[in-house]
Amino acid sequence: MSRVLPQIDLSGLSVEDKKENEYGALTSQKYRYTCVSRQGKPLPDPIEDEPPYYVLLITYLNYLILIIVGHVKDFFGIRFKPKKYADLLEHDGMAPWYNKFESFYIRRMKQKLDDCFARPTCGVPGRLITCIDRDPHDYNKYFTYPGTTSTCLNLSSYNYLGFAQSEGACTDSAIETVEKYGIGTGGPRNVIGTMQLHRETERTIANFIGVEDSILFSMGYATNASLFSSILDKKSLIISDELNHTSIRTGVRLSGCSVKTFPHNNMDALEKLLREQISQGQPRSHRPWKKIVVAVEGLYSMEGTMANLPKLIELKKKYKFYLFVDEAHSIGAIGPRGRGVCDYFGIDPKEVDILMGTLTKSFGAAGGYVSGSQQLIDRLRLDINAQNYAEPIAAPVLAQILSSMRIIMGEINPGEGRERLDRIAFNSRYLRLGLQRLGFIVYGVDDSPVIPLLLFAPAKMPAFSRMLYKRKIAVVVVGYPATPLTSSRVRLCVSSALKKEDIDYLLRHLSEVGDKLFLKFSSGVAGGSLDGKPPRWNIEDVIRETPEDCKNPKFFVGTSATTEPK
Amino acid sequence: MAQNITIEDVINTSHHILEKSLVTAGTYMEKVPGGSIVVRYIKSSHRNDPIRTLLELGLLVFAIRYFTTSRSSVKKKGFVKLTQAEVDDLCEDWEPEPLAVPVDEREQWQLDSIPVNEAAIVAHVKLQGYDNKKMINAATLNFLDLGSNEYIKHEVQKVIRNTGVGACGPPNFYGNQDIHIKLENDLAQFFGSEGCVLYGQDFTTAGSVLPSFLKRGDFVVADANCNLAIQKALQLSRANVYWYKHNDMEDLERIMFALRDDFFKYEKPISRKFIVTEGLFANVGDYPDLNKVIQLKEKFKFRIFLDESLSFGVLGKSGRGLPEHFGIPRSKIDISIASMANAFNSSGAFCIGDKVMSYHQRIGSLAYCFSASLPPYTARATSLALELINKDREYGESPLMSKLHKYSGQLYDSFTNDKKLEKLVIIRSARESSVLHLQIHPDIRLRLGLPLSYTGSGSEMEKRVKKGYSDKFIEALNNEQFLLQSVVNQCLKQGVVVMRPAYSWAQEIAPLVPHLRVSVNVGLSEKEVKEIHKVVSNAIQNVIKDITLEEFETQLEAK
Repeated sequence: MSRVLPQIDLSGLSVEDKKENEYGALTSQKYRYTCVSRQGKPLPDPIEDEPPYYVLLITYLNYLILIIVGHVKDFFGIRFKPKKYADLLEHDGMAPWYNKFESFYIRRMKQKLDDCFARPTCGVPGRLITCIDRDPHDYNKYFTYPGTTSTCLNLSSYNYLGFAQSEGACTDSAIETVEKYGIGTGGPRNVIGTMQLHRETERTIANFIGVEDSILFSMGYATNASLFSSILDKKSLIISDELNHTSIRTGVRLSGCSVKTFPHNNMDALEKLLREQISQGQPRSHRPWKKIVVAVEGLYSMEGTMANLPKLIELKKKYKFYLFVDEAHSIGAIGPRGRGVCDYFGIDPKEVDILMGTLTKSFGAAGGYVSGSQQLIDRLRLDINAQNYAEPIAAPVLAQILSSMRIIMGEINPGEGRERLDRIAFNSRYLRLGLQRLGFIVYGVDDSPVIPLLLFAPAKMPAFSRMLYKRKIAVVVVGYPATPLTSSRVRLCVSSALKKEDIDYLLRHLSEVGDKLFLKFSSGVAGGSLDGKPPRWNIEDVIRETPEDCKNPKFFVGTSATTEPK
Repeated sequence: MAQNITIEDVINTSHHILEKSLVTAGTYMEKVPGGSIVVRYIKSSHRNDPIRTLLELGLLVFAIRYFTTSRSSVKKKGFVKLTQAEVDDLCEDWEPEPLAVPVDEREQWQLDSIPVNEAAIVAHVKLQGYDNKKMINAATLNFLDLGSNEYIKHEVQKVIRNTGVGACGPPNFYGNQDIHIKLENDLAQFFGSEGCVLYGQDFTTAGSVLPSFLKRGDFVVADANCNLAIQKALQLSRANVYWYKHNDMEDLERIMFALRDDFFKYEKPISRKFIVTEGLFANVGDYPDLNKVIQLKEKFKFRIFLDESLSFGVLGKSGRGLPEHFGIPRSKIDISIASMANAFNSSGAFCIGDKVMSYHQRIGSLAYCFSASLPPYTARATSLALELINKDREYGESPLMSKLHKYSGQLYDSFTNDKKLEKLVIIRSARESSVLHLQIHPDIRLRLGLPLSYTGSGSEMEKRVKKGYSDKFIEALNNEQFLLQSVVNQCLKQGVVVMRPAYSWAQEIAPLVPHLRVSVNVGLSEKEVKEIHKVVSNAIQNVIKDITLEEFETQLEAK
């Protein structure tokens, strides 16, 4: 068996099969739901279900055993098997690449579940994803490849609107563009790398979002990492949600400004902090801050929660700070017209000062954008380092962005965009309510296409991932340090490409795995229960009732308080 | 005497109260499993030393208070106490500065002069506003002109037909395809290293790789002219950074000696130490003496971090970068990173080095873990680029590379032998570099009253950034850039695209002045390389030769 990953040839598939594997055809018009705009109404505070105490106890015990065994092994290993631990030891007067403590978690935990991460794939990450099988050896030290593949239902890719396709208008346009514009760029945007296609895409994005102008970047992470250095300095303050993405933190650190954080989505804490900071000013000198930026994310990719935009706008009017919203996961995927959280809440996007987003997710492309007022974008065009030093976004990617955005807007293939939006809304709600009724603890807002399903004990992560992989379902498990210590989870990313029948299949298997791994311990406070008792529905009932029920807000606890049924 | 009695009284009464409450608490405690042991312990200790019970009680209260008061309130020492009404007032009064300083009319030309391409950016380009004319591209970093290659285009189209455009996920979560992993293997094999990790964008790569191996307390000695990506990386890493004079090996050695005597002798455990430099400097176009750097690295037990974004596919007989140029095996370089968007005409960047380092990046490097994989087609394009560079090699020499080397040498010679330019511009770039940086001659700059550098220590920009000024507009800088733009514009009219590299001036800490950048690529003919020199030389003479201070200022006012 080879240690080298085989290259897989997928050309044996007929075009019809390929299309169906990438984007399943809609089986009934019943399986659509048009998301309702909240018309300026804020979301009620989310209710977070707590697991029973013994579950938390077991989780801590899991970590305790891991840490004790790990340290004991390290202690004796370094002394008696120095060859095996050579990576951790100084040699030839040089320090190791990383020290024992820094890498403890990686060596003792992450490596043991490496077979659940970075599964190599091939082909389109659409409705189905083809994973290349591999056999782990010596606790995932290395893998061998038998040369086979498993085609799994894809709940792992950020393919919200199903634009990861190799057939259809977007792909055709990308392929055509290769002919006309090539694939390279030859230098940074401000030097030689700007093409007409860049300007056209920037205008289309601005138009799509509903603001004056926008600016493109070749990588989503880099967008945030380079943005803040151009607008903030050490006399400015940024107030950041504690769960903001690493890219925002990196960008903020590079800008050298002061940082304060507030508890996730806690608007009262934010207001208190704002009052304190505005009245106290800069530390020591007490001079007023030059400017204050509040940074939040539209949709939190690990929580499934949304920024409380209406409340933020209200606070913004009162306290005159600037609002930055990272729409990496929400643009395209959220809102009646797919235009992100502003659309969802029915708020004019011009009220938000900086709208940032990525094009990797809903649009099946790559890169990121920043949009806002003409004045801001003009300044960024000159100052931002990504424009002056980094590679521009390439032409085929631009074609993909343009065509997918035009499909959503209904300019290409009218009706297709609407269908995609309706399907993701339906799929998200169906899966969420189905899971709640089965008794799982899930986090987030009812319309969120990101559905975190809580596992708690870290040992359940590999078990869950492996069991589902055997059942031909690809999921992402996440644990510490990406989440708090006790709340390891599975993150299910819903896509328009999934059919209702796929979600039935998924629910059946999740229900079985949930029973085996003892995961159904919701109390019903966060949804799924009609009578206040812990919901433990039978899977057949769930599949029969939920597709209709999920369209009715009264079955969702989080939002029913403020939304009238349609 | 009387006093003593009262104190005793107080103690006695408090004893009574304490004892009573302890007894009641004790009866409750005994009901809890294991509680009787605790009660017995407290009783016996109280009997032996009643004062101790008080002391322990006091300690307990203090501990509870310490842990319940939030940490933030302890930090709020410097806060001024304000009433609710005062806070309201202050909030109402506060007026923030605008989010971004508007681009004013003096700078507007900078925005307007960004060239816009109407077709593919290859050896010949079409720019908006130049009547559909085919122009010679002497501004591109796509030195091997792989953008014109039909075979690559065709293959890329096939990949898009198989995999779509985006990868739709980070590498650790189903984002890495067989094509990505093949490229990692191809690159590792090409450079003869153990491991390779791909990144989504070139500029963020250094800022992600370096901080994953450098933490507070580690040491870096870096070249003072390193590019902004490296400056940002070192800022993120929080390591101790020492800058040595650009390419000055004596200065490097001096700093390393001093560090050894001051810190390294006594440290335990040993800290991580890096020399950070570039293959071909993005700001200057020259390269370090790698033999000497390696000698120093081995002497002082440092590691080397080399940014080869402009030297991969440029230096060395087969395009393998600076070590090949010096005949040094790649294994001597601990970390090398390079862009795939320059000579390879693709997207993204990569980092090569040993196995342990590569593995650690896959969880410790932020831009790798938290961002999506490259679009699969770009990975294929780079694999093909490597294939083409390796094609028809004779005696280790790649025909593609020898053509590039010939052109680079030709361009360098034509500029450095040009007597008319002698007093007008200076060139610090190396002959092997495919990019020449032309800087206005210091004598002329002196005559025009321009500063030695606009950024770096002691400069006006540094002062403004340190003091936190919002307005970072520097008149002289704007003017000098405009002067160079006039040269660029003249060249554009003659059908040659040269460029004024763009900088984020306020973020740079390396000493910089604006300059012109002229590059060659293999898609041009020998005649066209001559043409580049002729046009650029003429334009420089026209604009800069007899310029006086008055002219300089009036010209600028006219804009």
